[in-house]
Amino acid sequence: MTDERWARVKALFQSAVERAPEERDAFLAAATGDDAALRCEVESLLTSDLSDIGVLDRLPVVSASVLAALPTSMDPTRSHTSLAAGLRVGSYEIVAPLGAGAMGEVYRARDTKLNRTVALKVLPERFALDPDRSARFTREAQLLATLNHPNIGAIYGLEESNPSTGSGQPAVQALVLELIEGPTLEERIGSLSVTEALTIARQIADALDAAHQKGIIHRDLKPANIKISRDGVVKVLDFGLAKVWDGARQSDVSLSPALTGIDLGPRTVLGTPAYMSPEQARGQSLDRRTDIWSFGCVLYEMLTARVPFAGDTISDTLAAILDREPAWAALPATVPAAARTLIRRCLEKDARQRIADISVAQFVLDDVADVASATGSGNAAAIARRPPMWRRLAILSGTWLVGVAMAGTAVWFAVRSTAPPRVSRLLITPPSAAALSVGVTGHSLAITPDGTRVVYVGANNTALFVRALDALDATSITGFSDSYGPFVSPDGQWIGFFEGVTSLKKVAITGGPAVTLGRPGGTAIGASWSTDGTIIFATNDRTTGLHRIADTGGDPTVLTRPNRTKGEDDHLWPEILPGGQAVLFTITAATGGIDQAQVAILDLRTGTQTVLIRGGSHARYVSSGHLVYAAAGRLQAVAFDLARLAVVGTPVTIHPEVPTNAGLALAPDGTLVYIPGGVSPLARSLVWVDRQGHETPLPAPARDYAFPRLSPDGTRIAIYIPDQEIDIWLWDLARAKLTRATFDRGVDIYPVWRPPDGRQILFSSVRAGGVNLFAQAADGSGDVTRLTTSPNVQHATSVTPDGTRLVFAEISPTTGQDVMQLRLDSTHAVTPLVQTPFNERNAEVSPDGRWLAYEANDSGRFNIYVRPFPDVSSGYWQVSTDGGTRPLWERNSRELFYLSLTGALMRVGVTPGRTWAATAPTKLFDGQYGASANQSGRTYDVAPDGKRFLMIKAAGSADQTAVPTSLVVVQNWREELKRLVPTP
Amino acid sequence: MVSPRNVTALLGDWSRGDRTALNQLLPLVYAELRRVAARQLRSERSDHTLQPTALVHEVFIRLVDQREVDWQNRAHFFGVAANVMRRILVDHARRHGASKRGEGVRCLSIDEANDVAASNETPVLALNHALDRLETIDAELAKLVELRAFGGLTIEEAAHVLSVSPSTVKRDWRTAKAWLTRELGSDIRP
Repeated sequence: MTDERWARVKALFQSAVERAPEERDAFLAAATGDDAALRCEVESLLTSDLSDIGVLDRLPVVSASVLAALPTSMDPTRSHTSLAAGLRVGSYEIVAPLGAGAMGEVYRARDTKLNRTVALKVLPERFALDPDRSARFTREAQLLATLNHPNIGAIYGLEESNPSTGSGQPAVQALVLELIEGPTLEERIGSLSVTEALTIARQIADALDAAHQKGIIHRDLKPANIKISRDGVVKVLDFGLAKVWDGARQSDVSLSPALTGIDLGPRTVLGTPAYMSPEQARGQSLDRRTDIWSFGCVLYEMLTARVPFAGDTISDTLAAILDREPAWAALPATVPAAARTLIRRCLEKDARQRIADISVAQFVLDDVADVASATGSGNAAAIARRPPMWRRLAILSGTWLVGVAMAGTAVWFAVRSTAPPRVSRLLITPPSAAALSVGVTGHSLAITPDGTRVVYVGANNTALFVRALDALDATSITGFSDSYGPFVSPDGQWIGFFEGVTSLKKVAITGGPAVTLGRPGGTAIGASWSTDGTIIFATNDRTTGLHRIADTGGDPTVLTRPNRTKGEDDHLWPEILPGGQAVLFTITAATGGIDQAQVAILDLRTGTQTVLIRGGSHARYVSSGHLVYAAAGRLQAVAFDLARLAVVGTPVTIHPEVPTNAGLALAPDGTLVYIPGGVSPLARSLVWVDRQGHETPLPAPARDYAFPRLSPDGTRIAIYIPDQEIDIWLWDLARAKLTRATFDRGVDIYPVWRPPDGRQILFSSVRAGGVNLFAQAADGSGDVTRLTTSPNVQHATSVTPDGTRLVFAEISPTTGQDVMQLRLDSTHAVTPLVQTPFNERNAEVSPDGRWLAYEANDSGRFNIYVRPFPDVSSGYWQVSTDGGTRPLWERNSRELFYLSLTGALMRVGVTPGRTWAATAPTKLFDGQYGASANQSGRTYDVAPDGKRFLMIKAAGSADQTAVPTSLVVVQNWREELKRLVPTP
Repeated sequence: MVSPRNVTALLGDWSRGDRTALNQLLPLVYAELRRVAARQLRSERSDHTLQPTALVHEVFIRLVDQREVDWQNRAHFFGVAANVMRRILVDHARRHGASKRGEGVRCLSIDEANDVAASNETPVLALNHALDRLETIDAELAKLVELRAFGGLTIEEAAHVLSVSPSTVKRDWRTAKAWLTRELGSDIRP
């Protein structure tokens, strides 16, 4: 039962029980509606309430002799329930007991390192004290811990420690398990629909499949060992523990786990060996077909609410297993024929006749689900959970096809195999304790070659996280000081990574101690692992290029050096191509920045280097036959002939921006993972600040924002972001969406909206020469219009309220910065407004069109001045008294704002009239808001209602908003790539 | 040497958030329970049994300085003692059961199970197991049962330990009893 469900039951019971018994029926009927199960549950409690038999009043008395005979001190390892809340076992803090299991007591515990809740299964003392058993158990537990599947309750590890410091008590040995909140399948049986039962069965089959592929047999599959988590995911528990238990006890092999490893609770004391296979009942050796039998038993019980082989005594039950057929007639008529056949084939008493591989059950149950969905009664969750097509095809073999055909699902195979895999996207957001650490130079993430697990660096570079894409949580490998730059071995079993500049290390993807392989000799910038057991990496040491080291460790050897005579600066970001005979890398240029970089290939057989792409970097190979690389701030792809090691065809832009620090990883199977959003260390956030200084953040990503300008209708913000390309972007306030508005490779800066309708954005741009003025439609349609051609730098600052003139600052070699205006008609005529030998800039025409406010430094520092407009020579008033920059009018022209020299937002009240009349300046709030870089433009705006200000907040070190928090995973991205960039 | 003042101070520390105080407190409570039992054995009474709740109260009186302890610490003490009591009872029931059935074979025959069911006591293991299950769906209710059944706390005392109102405790107590009756009913009714 889920917490929410219980909360409802509890609330209804408590309401109902307060009423007179005769009123309860009507109340419950009204309160539960058509939820019969809910009503039934509440009614059963009401019945129990009436028939109170005093369960809690009849606790046994304690015999004084028993008490006196208790051990003289509390020994946590001696008693079954001996660990109290608050006690610590290693880094785990006991929260509460969960129950007694075959292996000992189970506790809810807190993992204080990772701040998560786990289940701790504490082993009996006699177990921990026997070195042979203990060692054997450790080995088995390590094998089981490699099971990583969303439908298998994970074993995180083994904890051996002293439960309380300094107490001198013996060590506690405990298994650290995934804690799954929710009922067991045992509790759900009887309340399952056929569809639910089949959906659950499909997930159990997935769990068995994953384990069997690793050679692990469950041996004790039963409803009590299967949990249904709060979000409906089925989790099979205690995988293989029966064997561990058995082996460790060195017990009589004929006593199978179902008979010996029994829970001490009353229900399971009476537990029968109902789920044992015939070979198990006979004490014969077991293989995975014993699990298939038990799977059939569980499926049968889910559908019929009765065990297939029952008896009053254990021997009767064993007899039924060995000799009798289940009551097939008990299966509801609605159970599909294919599922009936499946159960029969699972419950063949002769293991040789039985289905030999659980994948057959997976196929059949998929088929059944498809039929169900086609008839409108399907379970969407069941279908969505299906693994990708390629995986299912990969495990299909001839033998199993026979089984598939028997179950009547060959048609499914024929029809489905023609459809390409669907591209799907998912977001991974690590919890804040495990927040992503994004490196500036190296890659911060990696993906296993089979595309099933993403590796990323987190928790301030102290941990590596491994997130199975089909799991809900990442597992962590902790204990590092400065880990970065992860990469994965070709078999997906190891993570290579760097720690500081001193160590290149590897660690098993399932965790464990890290092994130092060698010294990288600098900050690593890219690494790749070959199938032949070598690792190629690059560092920031510009005297060397690529390095090679054996994956067993040793001294790295220098593979390439940058050729200074060719203008090469460094060789970075190596990626070994399939086959291991060539490595892709980036040659950075001594001048010209990343735009002048080249993608090159080094043939490891001949040692020859060939440039593949000029103006590109960060190349990766995708098995669809493409190279994906960064070029001019965009993600490009081009077809690539792996045999000839040559680019074929034309590059295509596949994404308008490159992920943060090229933070992307590609698996050969076509799974892409990247860190969305370009984030630089200069990232800032947008905030609303009211007149009292109270902040409300906008939900915009942290970027290196500057010069925000609200559209005339207040629905959009035009804003300058220089972090990827230097462009103008639009933030849509209603849709909370950031889109790029300008796309030129040059600098686009100082956006202003053209009133009154705001359909046009005017801006400064470095296109074909100097910084001149341009215009384009705000919706991105149409062409960019060049408004001026001048050798002088021109900064757009405002547009007159009628939209006829653009006011801008021009930097003249003779008169410095001057305030100019441009007619926004076909003449594009430019005339000066305020032109003196001093600097005048950031001029803004008041919304009523009567005044021009600007800043000028004729007093030796910048102050705010106002002149009449358009007749600017008829008057001249100083507004600020103690310096000021970046003036801005309130939209009713009754107020003028500006920034003090310390960045505080100042306000001046303006009295309407023909002559200038204003109040003395007062401060609204202090200036913790970023006045961007060294550029002079206005760094804030006022909302149309004048009640709040749009400010840019610098992201301090403690400001989490500046850190990218999520990873995007695109499964089957290869399909998208094939569509966008056809290969010849 | 443990003095009542020490226990009172530990309770204070614990209620102020010092978790190590609990680690020191548990063995003290445990040891005192044993001492009370030993004293009982030496007495002339023929009935050498104790009600668990009475036992917990006796331990409290002996361990805690009545003039020093405040209401809140008193409640905390019973929270600890109830848990110790529960574990003693469960442990005893397990040892008792194990010795009766012999080592290695843990399966009860149907007849043996009926013996258990026919006895007039609520089987401690059954209750313990049911409480464990209750813990997974409603930890607060499970804690309440522990406090009331094994620690003998009043409604008001339990309310204080759980930081809820007495009326909530009353409602929850009734709910917990109904739930446990339903879960245990089939096991303990003859």
